[in-house]
Amino acid sequence: MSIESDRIGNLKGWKLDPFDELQRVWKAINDGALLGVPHIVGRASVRNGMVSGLEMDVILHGSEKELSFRDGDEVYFIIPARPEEGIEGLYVKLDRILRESQ
Amino acid sequence: MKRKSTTVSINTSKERVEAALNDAPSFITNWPYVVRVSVKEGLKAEIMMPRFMFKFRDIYKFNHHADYNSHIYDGTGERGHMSLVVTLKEWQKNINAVLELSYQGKGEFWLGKTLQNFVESIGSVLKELAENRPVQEQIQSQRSATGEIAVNMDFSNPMTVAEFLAKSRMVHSGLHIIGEKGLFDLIGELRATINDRPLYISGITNDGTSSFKVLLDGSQILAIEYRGAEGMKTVKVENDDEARKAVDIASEIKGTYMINVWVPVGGV
Amino acid sequence: MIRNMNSYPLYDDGKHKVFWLGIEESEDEKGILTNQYLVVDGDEAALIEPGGFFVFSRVLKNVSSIVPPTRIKYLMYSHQDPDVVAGLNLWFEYAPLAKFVISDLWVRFIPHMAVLSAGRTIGIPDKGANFKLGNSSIKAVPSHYLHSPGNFSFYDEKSGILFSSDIGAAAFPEGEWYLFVEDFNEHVRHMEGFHKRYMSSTTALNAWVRNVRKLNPKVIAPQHGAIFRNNDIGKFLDWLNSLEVGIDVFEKEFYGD
Repeated sequence: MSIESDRIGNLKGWKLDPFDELQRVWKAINDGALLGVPHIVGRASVRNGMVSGLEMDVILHGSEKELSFRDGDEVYFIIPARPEEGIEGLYVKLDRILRESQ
Repeated sequence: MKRKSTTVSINTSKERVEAALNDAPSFITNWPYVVRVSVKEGLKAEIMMPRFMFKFRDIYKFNHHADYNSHIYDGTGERGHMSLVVTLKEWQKNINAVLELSYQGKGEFWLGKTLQNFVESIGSVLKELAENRPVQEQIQSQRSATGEIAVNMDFSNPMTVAEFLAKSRMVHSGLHIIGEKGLFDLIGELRATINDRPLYISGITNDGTSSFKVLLDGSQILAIEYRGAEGMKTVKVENDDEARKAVDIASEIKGTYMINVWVPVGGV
Repeated sequence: MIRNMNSYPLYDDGKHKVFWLGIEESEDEKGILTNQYLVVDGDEAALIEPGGFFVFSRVLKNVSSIVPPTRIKYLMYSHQDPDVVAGLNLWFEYAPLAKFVISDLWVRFIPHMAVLSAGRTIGIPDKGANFKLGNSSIKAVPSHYLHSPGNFSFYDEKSGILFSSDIGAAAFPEGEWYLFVEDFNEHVRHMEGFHKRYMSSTTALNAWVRNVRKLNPKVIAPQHGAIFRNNDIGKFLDWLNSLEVGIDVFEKEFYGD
């Protein structure tokens, strides 16, 4: 297992605690991993380069899918989540996707 | 009378310097060659230089006076009189403390260089007491930029964690059972296979109800956060008291956790 | 709270030096201040009773101002109490060339400090051993059952300083601290309770005193309390000889008739 962060894009930072938000859905990710491939699906509000809102849920798919698109200040995303990557691993993926969208 | 002076630049607030100066017993205990302190009947301190260095020994009774920017420590001994005046000046973000030490009495004629060393040592002590920087921090400041990112991490500020992760890679992942006070055993196991000095270890239970984050430099805990049934506890270690709290928090952690270990990979 | 961050030179002949390394009082141990000592001979140093976690910063700072920690050849532990050994894993990092010296009895416990110490630990046999430091020698003097069953004092032959572990330990009254014993009779009041309860055996104490008289130390420097010099050394050894300690005192109280 190896994840390495590679920051690109114009995201300046977060106005909320992303780790808190990810911890909130962690049980669903773990429970879901027993049945399929859990993904976080949701949207982030990005204004002036700062993430100011984040809503997400956990859904299951049969295989890993990653998708994101931007609509004005909103970024919609679906990101596969693996329990073994931990909250930090999932954060690194989310951060990369939001950066790429800017 | 012999007078010697020195100036020290202190990198902290005026309040912290004042606090160090107002605690006269602690301040004077830390003057060089102080071998006895008593506060039973006023503040008394014995200053004795080792015989092989310089024959100087006296017991002083100290009085401390302060006004808005200066402090005077007036010591009356059996063989002489010693007086220290500390004047504070604010300069940009630093405090400059000017220390003037005067001595009149036995051995005065011989005390020129010794007195200069003495006042310079007192200046260093004041700086140390006011800044109260643990020595680990001073050593770390000489280390690489990756180390600095780690040192700056404060779990009560998620952005510092984000900054750290932005320049890090995960080097270990696995489910671990942590027994009573077993986090230290786990750290030992991880240290046996991972050579990087700064390590960020995070753990979370399957149901997400308990989690922890520990930042280590070598074997030292620099910061720790633990979320459990009783809420969240966070400490960034900057002094001995916080070091003790960090160890206490680490001792509370037990259970089955998914553990991830991250190390910095460099860059700015 | 007493805290002295300075070191104090106890001996210096130009080539061989001994320093006391400051003290601090923890909130939980009012009056019980731990002493640490550094012996330097030429390019090599030995840290005697390196101390617990909470004193590490101060001890490292003071050691570093005298010699680089890489010059520390020995970290010498009299016994296994936490206030002696709890900083071991930190010293493992900061004194990378040092060997840990401790009674053979306690070697197997070191891995419990989260330290992988293979190859870096020297177990002292029960009868003691000599450790070469530069051109000098430090003798590990048996002090078993005083109070630990595997306990050593360390005698620096060149300076004549005997680092006596917990033997001679004293608790200072609040608001008072001194580095050297000046009034022996007054100082006894601060030592007596500790010795009676913590030292295990009067026989062991008498054997230690007999052995130390042969060494004829110039200074006795305990891990807690104040340092004995000059005439106070004789008074201290005589006082120890007169003491009944440990199970010899408390058998009845603890176990009944």
